[in-house]
Amino acid sequence: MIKLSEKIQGKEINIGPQHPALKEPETFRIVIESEKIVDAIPILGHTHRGIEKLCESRNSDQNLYLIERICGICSFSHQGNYAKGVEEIAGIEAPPRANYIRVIVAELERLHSHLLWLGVLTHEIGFDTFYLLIWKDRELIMDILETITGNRVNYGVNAIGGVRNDLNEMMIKQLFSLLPILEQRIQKIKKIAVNDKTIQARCKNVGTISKKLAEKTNATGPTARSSGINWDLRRDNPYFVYEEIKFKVLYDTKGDVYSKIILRLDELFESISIIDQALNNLPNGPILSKIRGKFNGATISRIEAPRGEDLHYIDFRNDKIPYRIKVRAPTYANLVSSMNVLVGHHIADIPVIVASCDPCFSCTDRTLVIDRDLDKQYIMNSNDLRNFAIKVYQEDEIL
Amino acid sequence: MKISNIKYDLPIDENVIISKRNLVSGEQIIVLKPKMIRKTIENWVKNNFSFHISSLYVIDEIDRFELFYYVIHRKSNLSFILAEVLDYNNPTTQTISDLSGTIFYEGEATEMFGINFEGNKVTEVFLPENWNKGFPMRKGWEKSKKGDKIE
Repeated sequence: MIKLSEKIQGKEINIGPQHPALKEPETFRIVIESEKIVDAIPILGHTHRGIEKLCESRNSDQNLYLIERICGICSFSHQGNYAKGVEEIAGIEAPPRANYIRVIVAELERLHSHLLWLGVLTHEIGFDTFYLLIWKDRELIMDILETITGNRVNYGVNAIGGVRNDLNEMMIKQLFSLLPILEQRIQKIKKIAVNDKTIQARCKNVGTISKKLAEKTNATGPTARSSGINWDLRRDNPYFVYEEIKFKVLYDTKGDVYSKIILRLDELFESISIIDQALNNLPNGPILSKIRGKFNGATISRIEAPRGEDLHYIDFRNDKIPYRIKVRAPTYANLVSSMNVLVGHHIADIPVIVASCDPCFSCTDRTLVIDRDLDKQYIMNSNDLRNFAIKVYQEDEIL
Repeated sequence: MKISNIKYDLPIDENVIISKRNLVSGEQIIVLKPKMIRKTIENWVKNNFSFHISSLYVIDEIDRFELFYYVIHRKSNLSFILAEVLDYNNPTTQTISDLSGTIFYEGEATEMFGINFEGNKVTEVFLPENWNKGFPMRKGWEKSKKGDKIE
């Protein structure tokens, strides 16, 4: 585990491995002076499963399903990225119809991931009515993903050389009828987010990541775009068939939690437009090019996952089993900037700031507070910390 | 637009380059002389060359380690890889974590491969506290077998 800086004095708060930002295990060791945070260190590894090592003993097809399980939310992004990389090494391209289907599933994944994140964030600020409203609308996307792929979480859509699931007429019709409904619901969500004073009080000017900090700490995805970095791999290094689709890369310059909310909501409208274009231009033809045999070569495959750039290094040496696979998920890149912005904020802001980068670990409900001065420690659960944060803001008459 | 098609003069001193080769995806791997990566990055920071280190990864080549920094220059939409070959018995290089947000990437390379980054105190990121079973991502590392005593 990472050791605390020796020179920092003050109380330590260990948030996690069960913590209030997401339901995944992850520890944040927070050092405070009075109520103010003076240092923040993430302690990773609670969900480390050795997937990179396991990949070195499985063949290219088996790795498809192993890599998909890196994440339960952006499982398509990881699997699609790996499949794209292996196809590059093999020197083949997936059929056009397969690439269009990949774009559709990727954007559906972005839609449900962003809505999931917004739901979690509003839950953290105590706005549970809004949280349930958002997650109710997210169910529409989960249902259509289940219809298309057969699964709600790990879709298993990709194969090396294309996709396994084709879209039939009924599915296309369902997707077309869903898009205007989704657009209408997201507009309603955005109207609430823009006008609600609770959201503004808890998120405006909180957790601001400057462009300079985002650049120095290698932030990526919506975290970087909300800080003024105009970068999206779908436009800047297009893959699948994104070069054939028109969409805007949105960015903001404020960098606070509120701007991340608005940016992600606006990205949803772009995703809906991308799905609409992909469905309208969906070509006929095969969905899978068969590849067999051994592979030789190394590549870096990158795609724009919902949380940011997902990078896979894939290295085959005339074998069916890869010599080395390296995965750099977007949260890993965004952690350093998020930890930096905690400094100077109050304990009550921790849940919102930690959640704002859309972290992908696991979590729960325990906070260990260590009081160095009194030499005692006590445990708060996540509800305690969440209620504490809501109470602080209520007492300050901010809400 | 394919990244590999873009021409751009990289601010790297030609005298410190040992070799160049390409990945299948088109990115150029530029292998630098030992401990020259930090100096190169220091020059970039000094000359306001805006760069983004997207990832750091290590490959165990049995007789040596190869250390790779995946760099993106967003302004010109260019990506390339800075690399360094490290001695297998004493894999040591200098940290760049004070110049770019690579503190955890380096810590991961330390605990998984045993690479020593001079100046980076983070040596444990993912593995459990007091891990004493070697460097699991090295090729020669053997995982526990069924029936092994768990301490």
